[in-house]
Amino acid sequence: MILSYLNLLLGLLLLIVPGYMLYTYDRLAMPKAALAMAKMVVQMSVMGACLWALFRYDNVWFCLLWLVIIVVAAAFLLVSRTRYRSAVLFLPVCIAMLVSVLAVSLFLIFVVLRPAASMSARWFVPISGVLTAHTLMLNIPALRTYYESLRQDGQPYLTLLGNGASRMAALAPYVTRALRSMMVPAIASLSAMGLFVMPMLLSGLLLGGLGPVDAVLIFVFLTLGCMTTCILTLGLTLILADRRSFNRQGQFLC
Amino acid sequence: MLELKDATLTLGGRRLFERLSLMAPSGQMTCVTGPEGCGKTALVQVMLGFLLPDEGLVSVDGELLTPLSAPTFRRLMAYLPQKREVTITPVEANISGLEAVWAPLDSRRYQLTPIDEHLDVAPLASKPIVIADDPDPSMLSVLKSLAAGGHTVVVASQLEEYINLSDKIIMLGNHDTVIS
Repeated sequence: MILSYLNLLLGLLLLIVPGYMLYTYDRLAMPKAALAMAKMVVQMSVMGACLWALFRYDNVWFCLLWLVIIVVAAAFLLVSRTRYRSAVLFLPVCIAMLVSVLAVSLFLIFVVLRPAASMSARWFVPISGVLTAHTLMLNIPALRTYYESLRQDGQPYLTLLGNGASRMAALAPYVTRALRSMMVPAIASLSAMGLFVMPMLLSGLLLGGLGPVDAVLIFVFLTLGCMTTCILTLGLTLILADRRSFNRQGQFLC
Repeated sequence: MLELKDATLTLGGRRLFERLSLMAPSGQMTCVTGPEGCGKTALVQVMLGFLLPDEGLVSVDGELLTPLSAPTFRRLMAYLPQKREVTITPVEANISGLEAVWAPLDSRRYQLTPIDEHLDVAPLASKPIVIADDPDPSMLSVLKSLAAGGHTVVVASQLEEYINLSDKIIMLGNHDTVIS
């Protein structure tokens, strides 16, 4: 550990300013803020312990097990926020996310970032973690939009089917809408990226010891990887969940 | 020709029609009518293969309509839905060119087009079977001319204009009656 106990204590001095302001102007918010901070400390401690073990043993199978665990946790959160039948969505989301994150992580490690990167905890864990986190965040609005649109306004789908369109063509407007709800915020943040503030991920890469050029390049490829993973996960989820979301006659099952 | 034979349909525990038989021949306009909630739209959905009758058969030109064969048969059909904002752009021979005009989904690419103002008769004419669910009165002449041109036209409507000018009337309600 590069920080001594004295460093840790000195670091806690940073709490003085927010603590003083909350105490003076919004005392009611203090317990909530304290609870949130305590939760964060506990969660990060657990995460830290897991990462310590992963880095200590640096085994491919442990890394894959780690990926399965975070994907299952992310899928659970995603499905609960999608407001569609969890029994239908959970397994497809797990499989889709696992396949997409694994494929893009391996592509980044073995093709794009080679020879600098290798299949080790140091590269695999952060890359797959970033991809999973973004996939989770961006797929919540996308899947929710897709299923809510079909539930609330399924007539255009039936109209297209009734006029001889294939199921894929009839569902295309809904997929468009889901993609848009995913991409609009992503595109907005991409276009503003690096203008006034440094992205957290880039800061992390610089703190990790990479030079500015390498850090920016890896950041760009990770961002592209995130977009690919998100879209792959959405597409695979819709394909895998399709058989249980529609009946044999093609009617959407709410 | 569209045919239902001894079809029974129950939805949400309610029997909408029982042992209903009807034949909608080519060159005629068949009107399915009856009070609100009697199952007109459900009958249209059965004809399109979206709903499966509990008993009985649906056939198109003598071929059985099943969940498996329905997509193929729907290529022969033009479906005008109840919702007025939705309409169909020209189909011609290419099925993949078919699009729904649906403003809420994509307001930049599609525009809201009331069905009665911009309905192009050409794509309807390319389909031998036309099924209209609660169409606007202004559609009457279009549908009538399609029937006169040899198409099978089925209309689900309560409007007198349609009832009076149809060649065949199917009254849904307590007793399913066919009046020719």
